Formats: sequence, C-alpha cells, structure tokens
Amino acid sequence: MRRLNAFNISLQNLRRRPFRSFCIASFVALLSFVLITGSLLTFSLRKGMSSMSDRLGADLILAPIGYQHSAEGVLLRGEPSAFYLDMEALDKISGVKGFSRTSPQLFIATMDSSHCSFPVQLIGYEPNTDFVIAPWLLGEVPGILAFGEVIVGSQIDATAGDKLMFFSSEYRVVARLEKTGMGFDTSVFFNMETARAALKEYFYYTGEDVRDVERAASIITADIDEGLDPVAFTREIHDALRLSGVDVIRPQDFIGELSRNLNLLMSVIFTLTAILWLLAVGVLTVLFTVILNERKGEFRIYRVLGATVGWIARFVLLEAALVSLFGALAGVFAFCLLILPFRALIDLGMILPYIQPRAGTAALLIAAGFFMSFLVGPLASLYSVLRIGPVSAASVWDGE
Amino acid sequence: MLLEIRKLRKEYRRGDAGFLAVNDVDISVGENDFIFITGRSGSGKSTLLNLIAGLARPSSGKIVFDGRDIGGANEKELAFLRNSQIGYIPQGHGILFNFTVLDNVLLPFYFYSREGDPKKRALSLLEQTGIPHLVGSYPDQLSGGELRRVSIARSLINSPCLLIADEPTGDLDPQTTNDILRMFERISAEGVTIILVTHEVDTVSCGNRHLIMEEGFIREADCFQRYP
Ligand SMILES: Nc1ncnc2c1ncn2[C@@H]1O[C@H](COP(=O)(O)OP(=O)(O)OP(=O)(O)O)[C@@H](O)[C@H]1O
Ligand SMILES: [Mg+2]
Repeated sequence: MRRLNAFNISLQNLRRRPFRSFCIASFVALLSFVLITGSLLTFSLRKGMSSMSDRLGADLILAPIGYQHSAEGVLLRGEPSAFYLDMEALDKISGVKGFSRTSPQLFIATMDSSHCSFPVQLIGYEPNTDFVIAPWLLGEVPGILAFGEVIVGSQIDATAGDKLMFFSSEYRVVARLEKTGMGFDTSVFFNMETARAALKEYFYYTGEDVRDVERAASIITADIDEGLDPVAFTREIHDALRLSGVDVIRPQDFIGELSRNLNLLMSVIFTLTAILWLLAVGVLTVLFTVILNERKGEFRIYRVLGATVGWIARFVLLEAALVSLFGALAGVFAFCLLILPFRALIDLGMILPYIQPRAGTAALLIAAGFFMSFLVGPLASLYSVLRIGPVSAASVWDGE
Repeated sequence: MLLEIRKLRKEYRRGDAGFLAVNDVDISVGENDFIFITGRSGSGKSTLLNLIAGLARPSSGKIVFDGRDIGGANEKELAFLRNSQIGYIPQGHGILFNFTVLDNVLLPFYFYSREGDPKKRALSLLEQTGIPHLVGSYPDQLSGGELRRVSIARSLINSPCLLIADEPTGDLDPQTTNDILRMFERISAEGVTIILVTHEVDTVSCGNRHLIMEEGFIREADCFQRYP
C-alpha cells in the first residue's frame, strides 16, 4: 500500500507539473555539469602546473643560442629536438663563477618508433650531478639507472621488463613514469653513459659530423650560488656567454608567465561558476516565490485538511530538494556521458600542463559539484518556505 | 453541547478602520444538530466557519469544542483537531488538482500516523457520494458537482463528529443541489453534527435549525421554515 507521506506528496506534486519540474531540474543539471567540469578542469590545470614547476627545478637552463624555444618545447611539450652545445661553449660554462651546481642533459630525437604513434624524445642525464630529473624520478625507480636501462614516460607503451629498440640497440625498461602533464610524458630517460652510446648511433644514422660525443650536452641545468641576485646574475652571464653561442633561460620566466595565465584562467572559471551558482539560487528563489503565489490555494487546502504550516513548509522544501536532486544527478550523468569518455582526447588536446586527478579525487570533486548544485534547490526555496505561514493562514476563501 | 460559541468577534482591517466580520456571535450547537446558516455575501459566514475550524484566530470571545476551549490551542493542536474531529468542506471545493480523486479523499488520513488501510473506507465514501466510477480520475476532468462530492467524501474520511460545509451547493443546478442536500441528510442521520452555510435561502429544505447572519451578527430565524 502506498502511503501518502511527505515524500510521496512532494513527488506527486512534481510529477503533475512535468514541464515546470523539468525546467528547474534542467537548470540545476546544467549548473551541476558546469560545476563538475569546471572544478575538474581547474584541479587538473593546478596539478599540472605544480608538477611542472616541481620538475623544472633549476634556476637556469643553458642552451645553444637560437634553441631556447626548442628547449622549452622538449621540456614542456615533448617536441623532439636534437641540438648540442659547442665544446667551446662547454669550456666557457665550466669557467663561470657563481654556479652552485650544474648538470648536463642530452637530447636525442627519434622520429619513428614501433612503440608509439608519436616521435619520442630521448633524454640523457648525469646521475652523479643531476638535481632536476632525479628528485622526481627517484620516487619511481629503485635506484640509479645502469647502462642500457631506460625509464619511459607515461604515454610510451612499455612496462618494466620490456625491451625498447632505438637505432640499432635494445634498451631494457625498468619503470614507467606517472603522467606529468609536460613533455616528459613522451620522453625516455637514460643515464649519460647510455645516452652517449645512443648519440653515437644517432650521428651514424643522421650522417652528422661525429663530434666529441664523450662531452656532448644539449643543455646544462644550473643552480646559482645563494646570495646572488638571480636577475642581475642572469643578465651578466647572458652577456658573457653570448659570444660563445650560449643562451640563458630562466625557467621561472616561462613557468611564471604560464602560471600567471593559468591563474587568470582559473580565476575566470571560478568566478564564472560562482556567479552561475548565485544566479541559479537567485533565479530559483524568484521562480519559487512566483510559484508560491500561484499555489496559495493549494496550501490552504492542506491546512484545511489538518496539515500544520510546518508540514506544508516541509512539502515545499522537499519538492525543491527532490527536483534539485534529480537535476544534480542528471548533471553528473551528463558529465559521465559527455566528458568522461573523451578524457584521453582532452588530455592530448590540452597544450597546457594538465594532469587529470586520480579516480578517488575525481569522485570527490564530482561529489562536491553534485552537492553544491543540489543545495541550490533547498536554498532557493527557503524564502518561500518562510512565507508559507502567512500565505496559508489567510482565512478568506477566494474560491478556485 | 458539542460546540459553544460565546461573544465571538473577528475584526479585520479595511484601510485604516477596523470592522467586525463576526460580531458578538453566540451559538450553541448540540450533537445531532443540522444547522443552516444563511446570509448575504460578505455577511461573515466563511469567517465564522474559519474561526470554528481554527483556521483563523478570534479577536475576542470563546469557542468551546467538545468541552475544550480552543482559543488557547496552538497551531498544531488546531491542525490535529481539524484533521480528526472536524470535516471541513471549503467554499469552492478545495480539491487538490495534483492528486487523483481517491488520493484527495485519502490525504487527511495520512497527515497523522494512523493504523489501518483507509482505502476501503474511501471507496465506500465515494460510493455513498455517488462517484465510485471516478476513483482514479484527476480533478481537472471532473464537473463542479463531482468536485463537491469528492470534497464531501474527503471531509468524512477520518469520521469527524462535526461537519462544516461552506456553500456546498453554490452554483449547482437544482437537481444536483437536491442530491447533495439528501446526502447531508443521510450523514446527519448517521449522527454527524452539521453546520451548512449557504446564501440561497431556498436550499434550506432540511435540517433542524436555521440561523441568519447579517453584517457579522447572527440570529435564529424567526420561524424555522423548510422550503420544499
Ligand atoms: N482576511 C481578511 N482580511 C480582511 N477582510 C476580510 C478577511 N476575510 C474576510 N474579510 C472580510 O470580512 C467580510 C466577511 O467575509 P466572509 O468571507 O466571511 O463573507 P461570506 O459571508 O462568507 O461571503 P460569501 O457568501 O460571499 O462567501 C467581508 O467583507 C470580507 O471582505
Ligand atoms: Mg463565504
């Protein structure tokens, strides 16, 4: 037997006003969709950003003149590049005073590989001096890489134990990195010794001049002595190294700019969703108040039949909560249907550092978006709920 | 006495001045009374009924229902009283359009936790009011007379001892008016006290008392006369 309790009464009232209920629910659904998408987007960008600045942890990067953008391309977007500092430049750099530590990195570009549909960037680093790659690599790998061992980025289709072939040598995969949201996802890491062996083969394949492979480096990452003014020092060595064909890059410059842009984007997203939320509460408050006037007669009938004012207020609140619940659920559903299946595409399409949250975090964000949009209905109905007393207590029957 | 009303007043404001919609009303209603109250539009009939049902608060005076002064009762107690002991057929018809005929009749039963299944009683009430075929219909498909019948059936669902009907035959044709009055006669015969308001004097064709309301005052009709 179906009992006509508050829940069933509210549900019935919603069902008998399908158009009205549908419109309110759609409105809430839209809100919930936007809140969830917005918060996930913001979260992913923020995480990508912080991972990026963590992983470019050098004060300066020294690259051959003219290759500043290539270096950024390698580090940020994984665009394969191969460029090398002159020997003379390396000598010059080692003569500079003011560096607290330096470490070379070697870039080799492979254009085709059977393991990925995209070009792979090989990055060699010096385990003894490195301070940029190791801090976050070490979390993933049990110790230092031996000769012939590689660590692969998250987008390379190989797991620990697999063998990868570059040029004419085979390399053993010891680990696969988690997604970083930057160029490292399509990169392969090995130590400098392995890298130099690979470089020899690379030169052999490209037919380039065999240079002093034993000392070759694409960039030098450097930290500067404490107490030095980074800007002044940068300018100083920039001038000093210019003639030797060395460009000085401050990662802070492009990270800073990117992060400023991202922060702007995120505050725009945040402001827009906040406005949308407030707007939703406002619009629904007005709507519920209008509906309240239309429903005066109905509420008086409840009262005649022996419902207290509190009861009627509960019906109204429950109705708002239910319609809001359906809307918020529909929003989550729409999100799952429209966004989730394409997360991989969104990943690839993003030119910004972008790391999607883990399932647990995503679920939490979805729950939060759901809850915030669900809240809109009950909140918006508060004003009319408070007015039900006086409205339903008016004693004249206007007839219907 | 089931209901005793003493020096009852209800003041409303119109503009700056107050006026008494119900003025010094004294009535004693005994069990099994079937009272007609007639009076012109605006004479205060609905206001009086609202006061009796606890839907409006008296400005002064006393209403004693079943030995209890309901002037001191709070909103909750009045609501429960309305739900369980008073059947109220409001002016118009007071039907909820979002619910089927059956649910409209059942609704007052469910406002408070009660034992049992009211469906049987609801169906038999709809049978008695002559609309058993409309159980599952929605009110927007019903005629004015049918809506009144639903309202009457609903007012009886919790077996009240007092039935208050505000213009239950308003704008109905003579034949339907007559049918409905016969229904009230039967209800009265079953021991329910009835106060029935109408502004058409010629509908006073049954009952045992006739009160006339004029500008808030009430008086017993000079000679109780039933119109055939
Ligand atoms: N809530 C209110 N506020 C102000 N005036 C009111 C209110 N309720 C009723 N009145 C006034 O009190 C007077 C009596 O109204 P009431 O509805 O009791 O008349 P009635 O006898 O039922 O009339 P009708 O036969 O048309 O239904 C009217 O003049 C009405 O305007
Ligand atoms: Mg009236």
